[in-house]
Amino acid sequence: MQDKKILVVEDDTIISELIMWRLKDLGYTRCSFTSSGEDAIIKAREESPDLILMDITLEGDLDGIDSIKEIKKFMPGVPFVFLSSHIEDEIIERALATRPSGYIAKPFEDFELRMGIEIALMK
Amino acid sequence: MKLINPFSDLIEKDPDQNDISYLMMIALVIFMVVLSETALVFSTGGAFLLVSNLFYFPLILLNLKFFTKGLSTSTAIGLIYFLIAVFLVNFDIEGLLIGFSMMLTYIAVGISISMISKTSNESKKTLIKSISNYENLFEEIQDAIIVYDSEGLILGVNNAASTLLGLEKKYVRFLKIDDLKNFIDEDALKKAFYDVSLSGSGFTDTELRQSDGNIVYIEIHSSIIDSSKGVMRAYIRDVTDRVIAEKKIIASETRYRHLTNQLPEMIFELDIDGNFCFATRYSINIAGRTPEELSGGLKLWDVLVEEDRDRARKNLEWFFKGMFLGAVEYRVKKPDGSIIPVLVHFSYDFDDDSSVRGIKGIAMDISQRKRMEMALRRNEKKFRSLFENSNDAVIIFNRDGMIMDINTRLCNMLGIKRDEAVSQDLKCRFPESEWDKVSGMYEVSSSGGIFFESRMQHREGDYIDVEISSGIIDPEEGLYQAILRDISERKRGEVELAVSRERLNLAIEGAGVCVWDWDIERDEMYFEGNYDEMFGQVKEHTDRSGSMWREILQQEFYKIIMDYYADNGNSSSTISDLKSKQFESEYKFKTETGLNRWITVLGKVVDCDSDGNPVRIAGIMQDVSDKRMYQDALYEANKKLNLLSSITRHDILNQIAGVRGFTDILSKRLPEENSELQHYLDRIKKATSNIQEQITFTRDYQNIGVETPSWQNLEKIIESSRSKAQLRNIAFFNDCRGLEIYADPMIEKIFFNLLDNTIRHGGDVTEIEVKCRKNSDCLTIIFRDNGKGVSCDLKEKIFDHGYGSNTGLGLFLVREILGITGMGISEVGEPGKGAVFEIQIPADHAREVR
Repeated sequence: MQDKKILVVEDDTIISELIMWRLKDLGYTRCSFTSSGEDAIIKAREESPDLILMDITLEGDLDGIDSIKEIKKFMPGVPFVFLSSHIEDEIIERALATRPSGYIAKPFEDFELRMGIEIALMK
Repeated sequence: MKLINPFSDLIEKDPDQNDISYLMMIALVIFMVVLSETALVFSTGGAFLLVSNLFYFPLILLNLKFFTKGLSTSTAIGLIYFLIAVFLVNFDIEGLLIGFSMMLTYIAVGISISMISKTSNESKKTLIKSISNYENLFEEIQDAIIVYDSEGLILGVNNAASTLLGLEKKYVRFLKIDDLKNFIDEDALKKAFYDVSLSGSGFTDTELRQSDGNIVYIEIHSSIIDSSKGVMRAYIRDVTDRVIAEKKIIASETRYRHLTNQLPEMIFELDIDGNFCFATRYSINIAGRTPEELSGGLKLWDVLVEEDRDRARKNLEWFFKGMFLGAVEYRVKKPDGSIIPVLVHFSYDFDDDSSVRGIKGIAMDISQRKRMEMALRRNEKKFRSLFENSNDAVIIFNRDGMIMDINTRLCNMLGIKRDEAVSQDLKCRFPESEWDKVSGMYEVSSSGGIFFESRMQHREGDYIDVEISSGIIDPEEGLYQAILRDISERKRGEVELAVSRERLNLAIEGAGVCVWDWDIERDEMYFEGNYDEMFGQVKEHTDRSGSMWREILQQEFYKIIMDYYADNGNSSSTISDLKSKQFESEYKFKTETGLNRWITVLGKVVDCDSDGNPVRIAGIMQDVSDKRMYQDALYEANKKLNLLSSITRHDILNQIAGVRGFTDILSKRLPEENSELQHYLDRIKKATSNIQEQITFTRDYQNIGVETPSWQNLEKIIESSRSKAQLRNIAFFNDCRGLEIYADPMIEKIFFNLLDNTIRHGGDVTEIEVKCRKNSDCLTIIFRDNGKGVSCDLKEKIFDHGYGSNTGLGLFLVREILGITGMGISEVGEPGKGAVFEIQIPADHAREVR
């Protein structure tokens, strides 16, 4: 599992640093990250990640949900998990409409992150 | 040919021939003859007696022949004898005496014979004359006479008979009675002509067909003239005119009867004993009798009520004595017991000989008149009662303005007594300034009336405002009536109303509203108030008749009312409810300058028809554009705040995630022996966790007051809350069925919070029950568990902000959410026996599900 490539899309550098640190701590060494939806699409096309951890609020014009929709156009089977502090029903409903592998609400524990990633990769 | 005189053998001798004077005279003569003859025998002997007796022959013969000269003839013969006796026989005194006596005897005998002869001759003449008269009478009599014998042979007929039969006499003479069959019916013929021989006389009336074919009506009276010879006589009288007249009379009588039977008057005839002889059908019907009863000896008083019978008897008695009765009222009692009053006019019923044979009466059923009289009396009584008890003052006066009567109300109104006013001039009760108006009251025509306001003077001098309605009540008598109403209160009311109206107008103007009133039945709509100010700039608005608003009110607003009406059924309570309910709706318009205008329409059903359909709706319209603008701005601000809240919450949670993450990293990297730093890290984690909870909590309640309250099904809300709560093994009973409450959409959170509260803090709860209690003031929702309950000192504190082991906002916000729609909550349970939360909902915020 640990050789899987994970693309982290997070606009907050502190959070992205934290996630990267935790992924590394969990043994996922092939990780990359970006802070905008547009970049995420490019990176996904370039790197073909095994899993995408996608925040919903991002830099740029595209949010995480729209970005995933674009990525799924050329990587329809890629698993992705939303990592978001959005807890409003409306946003959650939009996110679930993209059929994600998981939705991890911030703040989250190590355990939650690990289980979210493993379940997504298993699918 | 001379006809036989049918009377010649039938004439009787003159009864004068047997007259006693003649008998006495003959007796005297015989006495004288015997005396003189005796004297002669004794004096002269037989020879002279013979000679003397020879003188009788010429004496008798001459006197029979010349009976008119009996005296002279007898005297002459007597003198001859005297002279012979004196000169030839013995001229002495004896001879003179005998001669003189014989002379007298001869004279007496001669006179007697001449008289008898004369009388006999005169009788014969008389008889002949009588026969002639009889013949003339027989011929000239107008009745036809037929004389016939027992064999039926016609012995003679008179001219009338000849004329009647249309045959010449000479032919009739040879006819037999049987031959008259051509003229007279056989049976009638037999009865008239032959049956007489049995009974002595006969009578028949029949028809006679004349030879020219005419029919005449005849009466035949037959009788026996000479029974020994079997001679009979029949008078035939032509009664055609009489029969025709009788037939006409009968026809007339029939028509009279028929007519009288048709008349709606009771016409009857009584005999002198009071028995009914005749009564029209109408009379019989009215009296409830049968014709048989009337003809069976029923008397006038038999058909009357008991009380009228004696009077009726006496009246008839007096009437027959010549007293004029006029019209008399009686009461007819029908066999079924019903009573009919009648007015009877009597008149005499005269016989042919002008003698009174009875009474004719005409009776009129006066039930209607009696009823009218009764009604009139009742009306009079009512009028009097109305007059006296009327709330309005009434005055009756004549055309001269003189007061005839006033009622008690007017007496009280003016502080006077009736007697003071009656006969006074009407003007006396009015101030002089009103006299022209007063005069107008008795100058109105019969068809008109006048209505005006005036003032009257009280006894104590005060003036009273009155409203007068006057008109003529009896044009013939020249009587007028005026109804006066004290309008002092109304006048004061009008002033107050004007003031009130002014206030209302000020209020309407001040409030900036427009009042509308729609009479649906008459399809009339009124607008009042700030209509022009409100709608003057509305594009669609055309004129003050409100064509646009007519459409809006008549369609959209009316539909709101009718939808409510349809949703709530057509019961009387709904109609009452409908009239008490205020409907509200807002409409948006664009002004000529392009600005949006919001108009709130408020209305109530003022009146309904018998089916409960609204027939009048009224209310106000208010320009709420400013308020709406503020509401829109507030709504937008709320949305922005929500967005800001959402973004802030997101950012804070992001940062909390960072804090918690790095705190975890730091905690893992920190040596375990450094317990003090570990302790501080734990406090940071706890504080971060609290921040996270509070931030998360704001998500649940960020929409409080944002959405407008609405009617929500209570049972569904509670069930939804239950499904979201983790009740595990706790039994749940929801008894709140069939109810809706008007509440904030966040109401579901209330029950969720209460359930969550029970789970978190209730202890060993095994059962939760939610039920409702409704009374006139409010609906109470009772939320009960069987946990440890709430101690008395915490019953109010639990609703305070910050109280509790978690955020301290749960029950606080429950009370706040309920407070938005005027609801309240309190904890009333007994500590140790479970918590009991009671939610009070105003009555108008709860309703049954229909």
